[in-house]
Amino acid sequence: MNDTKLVLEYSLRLLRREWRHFVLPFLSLLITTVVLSLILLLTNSGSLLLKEQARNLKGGDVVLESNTPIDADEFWQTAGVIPELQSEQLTFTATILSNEVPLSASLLVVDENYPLYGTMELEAGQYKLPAADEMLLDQSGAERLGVTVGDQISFGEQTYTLTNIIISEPTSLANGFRFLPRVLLSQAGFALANIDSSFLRAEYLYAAKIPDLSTSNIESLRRTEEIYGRSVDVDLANNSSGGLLFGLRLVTDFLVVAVLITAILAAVNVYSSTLYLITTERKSLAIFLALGLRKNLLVAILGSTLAYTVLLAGIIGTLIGFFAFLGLNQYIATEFLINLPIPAVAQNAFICLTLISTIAIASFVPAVRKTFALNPKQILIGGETDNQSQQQFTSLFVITLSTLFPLVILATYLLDSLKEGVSSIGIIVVIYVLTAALFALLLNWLYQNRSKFGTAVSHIISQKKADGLFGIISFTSLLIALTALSTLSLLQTSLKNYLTGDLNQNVPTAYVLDVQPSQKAELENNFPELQLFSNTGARILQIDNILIQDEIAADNPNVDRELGREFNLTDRNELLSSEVISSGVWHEGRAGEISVDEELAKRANIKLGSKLVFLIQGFTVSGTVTSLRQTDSRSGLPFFYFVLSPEDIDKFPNIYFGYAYLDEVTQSNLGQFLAREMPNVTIFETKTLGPALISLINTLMILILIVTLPPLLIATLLIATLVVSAYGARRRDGARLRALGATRQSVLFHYLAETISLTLFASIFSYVVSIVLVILINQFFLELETVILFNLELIIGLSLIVTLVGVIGLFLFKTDTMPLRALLSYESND
Amino acid sequence: MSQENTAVLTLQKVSKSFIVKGETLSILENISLTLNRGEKIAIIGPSGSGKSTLLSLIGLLDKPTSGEIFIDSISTNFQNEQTLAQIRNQKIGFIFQAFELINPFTVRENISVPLEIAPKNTTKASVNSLIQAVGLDARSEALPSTLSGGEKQRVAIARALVNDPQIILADEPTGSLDRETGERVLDLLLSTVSTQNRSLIIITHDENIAKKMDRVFEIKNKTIHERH
Repeated sequence: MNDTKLVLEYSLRLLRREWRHFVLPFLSLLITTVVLSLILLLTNSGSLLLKEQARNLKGGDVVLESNTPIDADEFWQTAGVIPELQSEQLTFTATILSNEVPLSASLLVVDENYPLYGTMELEAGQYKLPAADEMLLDQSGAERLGVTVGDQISFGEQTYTLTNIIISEPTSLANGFRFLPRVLLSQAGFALANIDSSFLRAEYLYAAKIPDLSTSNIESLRRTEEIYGRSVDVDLANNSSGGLLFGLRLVTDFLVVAVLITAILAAVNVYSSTLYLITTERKSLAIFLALGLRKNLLVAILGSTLAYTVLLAGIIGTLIGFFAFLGLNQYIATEFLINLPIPAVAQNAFICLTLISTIAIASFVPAVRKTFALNPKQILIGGETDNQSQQQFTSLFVITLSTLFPLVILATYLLDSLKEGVSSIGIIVVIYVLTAALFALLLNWLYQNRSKFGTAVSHIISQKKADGLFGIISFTSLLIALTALSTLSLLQTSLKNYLTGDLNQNVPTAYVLDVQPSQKAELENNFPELQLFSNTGARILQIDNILIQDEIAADNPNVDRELGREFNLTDRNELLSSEVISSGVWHEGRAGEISVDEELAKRANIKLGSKLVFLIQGFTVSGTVTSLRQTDSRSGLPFFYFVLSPEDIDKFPNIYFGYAYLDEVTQSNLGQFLAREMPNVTIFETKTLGPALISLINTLMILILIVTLPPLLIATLLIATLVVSAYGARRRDGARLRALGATRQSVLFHYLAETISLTLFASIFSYVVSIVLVILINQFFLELETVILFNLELIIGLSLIVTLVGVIGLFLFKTDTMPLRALLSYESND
Repeated sequence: MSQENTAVLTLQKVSKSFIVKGETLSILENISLTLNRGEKIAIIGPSGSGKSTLLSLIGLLDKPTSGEIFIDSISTNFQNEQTLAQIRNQKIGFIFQAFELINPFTVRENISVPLEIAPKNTTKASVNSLIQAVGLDARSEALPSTLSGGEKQRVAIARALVNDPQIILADEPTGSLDRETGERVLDLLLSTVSTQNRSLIIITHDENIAKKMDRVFEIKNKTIHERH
């Protein structure tokens, strides 16, 4: 028979006749593929959704911001990134007038491409670019001016007709809290006003549509940003460090972590299944060698048998995963009204199949090693080959490297960076090898000292020692599975807390603006929940001996351009609960002392002891920096870079603004009070913002939940696989003990004690390791500060897994009907 | 007994040792032995004396530390793995104490394995006639798990003979069988070997079996001696 025919015939015969041995690996691979396929589709879909949200919030994939007009086309060409579409916008604060009533407003001048993403919601009809003599105004502006659609509003030399009322802009959630009413003009309309824009403190925005922004594109944009110095800021939709955009990026990053963790579980699962197959088939394989089969043909037979299993499971699993995604998508659309976009299905199927096959091939490496190390003389004289322990460690090394290789490719693909891919998986390799080595050393030590323990414990230790490499791998895999599960669960809790707590709850229910000093006391008396802050505009003249404005005018690259703008100073005696002094001592209202935001201090080279001189309304105020503070710019609360003593800036005319967390009744009372007693004060209720925000957060939470469930399933499956394969190895030992007089119950107790004690130990150990991992991931990857150490749900989950392991063990034992005589037979009885 | 004095197997000063924890453990020393065509010999010795190690060396499953093994006057010492596998397949037939049948293969398929592994031009005996010869024609499509111990060993005998090998190596072939079955299996083995003029090396503890052979060798103190 020729070699190909022999390989085909024998591999198919093995699969057909020994299908029971392949059921567990097949099911395991099938579910792994289903989960991996589903999670890849969900993650891609979720990422698309999040990107879409981020673009809508930002108004473009990339937004160039500058205080002076720039040639944006030149910028894109220098960066080598050409946008599909670009929208130029100009935003500034100015006064508009209607019926002799003036109003300070935030004007936005747009071109015909605005908005690139998202929709502009208007009181009536669909948005279209206003004509040159038309203007759009938001509701608060219309109320304050007392105008309706069709009325005339003047700005500069032109009078415009109000043609529609703005309900919400696409970027309204992300732009923080704009206190002034919004006015929208076309570029032609702005030209008619005949205002010299160089007199305006304007910001020029160039929003670009670049949907497939690669890492190299981003790097190139950043390099170009550096070439342009401080005149241009490049803002990326998915790379924001504040507020909602940060939340969206965070969830996208979490999805990447979830896929990687699932892939790791999948790798361990595929590997365990493969190793289980090889272990059970090993003796049969040795007979072939004794009968004259060449080892390479034996490897081919084994490889073909595995290939059928992997391919069949891979194809069926990918299909099931796809249909499960469609079903889930439909369910989410019906139940939660969230339309998840359909990602590139063929690409995902290819990635999924390739990953499963590559992991299987990588897992096959140890099988090949084992086969080549196989010596048929073991049939005759029994025992293992020489230098077993040395081979075990070499095997462990080879297995670890080969199994994790495909993971590096996946991580590189997901993180879009080879460096990050290698380093993230590298950390996992280190953890895996360290865990395995630690377990091997611990086991060795326990084995040498086993006489100090009771008989039962001593027996468990001996059995684990006798399991050799498979035992080490099984236990390490169990640890990795549980650690992955715990890590994901702890991360999910951290994220949930951030989204539903930090982000959602920190947004106040109302802001009040333009409170005059004379009104402050009365307002605080009536509404003590209000937190009011004085607000005094100032420019920095000097930091130590450097004349900041002069240096900026001279384009000194060492001076941050941001220092050229006007800052809002505040004064107070107390430190807020959301602030932490990172160095120095809080001034407690002492005159001449200044507290500075830590991040700004770094950028502006301000240190403790630095002397600052401000220019406030023509007068200079100076002070010494005595403390640096950590502030939370992501919280949605107002924060100030500079906090001075009331004594230093109280004498300047200032206004107050503030925020409050109020129930509906109090908030309504506040509105009525202000309308009646203080009509100059504006109340800005976040109620209109609330539903959109909550809906967005709910979307994110659902995404996180559905992405966390599949790894849970796969981890449980992996654990079940390990328990079943461990039972295969134990049943004969149990039979021997029974032959020596042990009862069936005592053997059962012994088996359960071994399985449960190890799972319990693995659970506790994995919980501790995952806390360390979550701290590292939160600090270096997600940049989240919230770390949950105690998670009741996770503890219950781990307890359920320990119980599940016990139940599976009990089930296997009770359903094993093979008689003792057969178990003790000389023959193989797998 | 037709005995042609043509050596099918020659061992010249064969020694085997293992390195265990850095120390050399000698198992066999200076073993010399010749097996002629059609000859049946028994190797006896206490447990741990190195009988199975010797069989694994003769069966080319292991390599000697020193000395030389000739099969059909060809030295096997410097042959590569592929050639050794080919010699095992065509010139040697194995019978193991624990039968070592391939569980997922039927009786017929188990017996056919050496034929299927062989290159195309190898002389092939009829599988059917062998199945008949060992009395398993009614069970030819059965799987090993449904066979009795005696039946399994008869399959193993047929498998060992199917490729017309010069040498049959049997390691305690009746060790896992009851006395009556064991005797029947041994009779079958000896008669088949005699009929087909094969050479047989049998490893046994059983003096009664040893007495049925042409020559008996005993391994003692790592060396081999012929009993007279």
